[in-house]
Amino acid sequence: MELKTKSLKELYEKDFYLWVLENLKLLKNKEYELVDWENLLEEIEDMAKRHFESMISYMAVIMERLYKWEKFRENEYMGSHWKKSINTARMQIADLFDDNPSLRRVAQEKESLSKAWKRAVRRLVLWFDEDENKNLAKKYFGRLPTEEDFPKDCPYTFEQVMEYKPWREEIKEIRETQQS
Amino acid sequence: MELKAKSLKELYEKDFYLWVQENLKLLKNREFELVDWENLLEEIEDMARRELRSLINLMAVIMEHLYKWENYRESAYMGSGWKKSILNARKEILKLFKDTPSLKAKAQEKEILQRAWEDAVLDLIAWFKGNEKLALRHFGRFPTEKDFPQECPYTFEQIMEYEPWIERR
Repeated sequence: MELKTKSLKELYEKDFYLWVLENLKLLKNKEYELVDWENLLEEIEDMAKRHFESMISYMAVIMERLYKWEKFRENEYMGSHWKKSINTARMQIADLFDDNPSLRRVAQEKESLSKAWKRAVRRLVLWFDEDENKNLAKKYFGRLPTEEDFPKDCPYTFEQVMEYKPWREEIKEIRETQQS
Repeated sequence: MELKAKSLKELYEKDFYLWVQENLKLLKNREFELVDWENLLEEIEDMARRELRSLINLMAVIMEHLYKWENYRESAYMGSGWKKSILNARKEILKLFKDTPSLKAKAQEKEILQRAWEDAVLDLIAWFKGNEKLALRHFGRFPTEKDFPQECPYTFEQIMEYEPWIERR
């Protein structure tokens, strides 16, 4: 028995497909003591983690684009596809919440927000490194920015990530100046 | 207990993320009788199915391009992309076999070859949709599934080794 479990554990590295089938057989026969629990629990955990990771990625996209809009939008010709990707990512997050409502609570945890922000910062740094943005980098930072040039703590709340529409503010501002 | 197991089953549809966490907790506490085995076994089976899916996808790529080379190559200028796809998919299959040797036996099963061929036919149909001239020349219209062999015309050995570009010389 000891031996069988050990060889099953080895199988995990050597032949994942067969490892799955062998564990399935054991589970169906309720031979729980023979199952390679160490790896199986990790695999099951991964099923949930994948959804969490997608959520963080979508949040990072939104934060990156919100930040660009707020800080580096130079004229009205910029940003139409930032807006598009913010909307797309929000829709994807909403879909994810439909199937996994408990993720909504996880998304609001400080840890999740700061994880997403860290990724957003990495994307911002790379964005400034692109050839067409070198001039922007020079203008705002005098050089290529590094991660230290951006806020260390996540500047957005969960509500802002999901709902803030900087382009609306702008419309309001335009209206207000027109009225006055 | 009965109730808890039932509500866990409902959770599978309603909140997959939470469902995973709950089952994990039960498994770690060895409360096996409370686990939603019906859905969990299915999910575990899916892990294996995904591996098989990658294999079938790669085999379908090879068949599609072998078939194109044999039947629709009209000039020496055509097919370099097909050759590349074939060689690349073979390399990926070899990697898959390295990580998962048991898939090699699986790949030779008639059912698997057939599934891959059926996928390849769908890819061929889609390809002709984007190549109207070729479709007209060969079929007088856009082809359907009936215009291709029903049974997989390739063996596993051919999928892995047949190089139509060498035999033509």
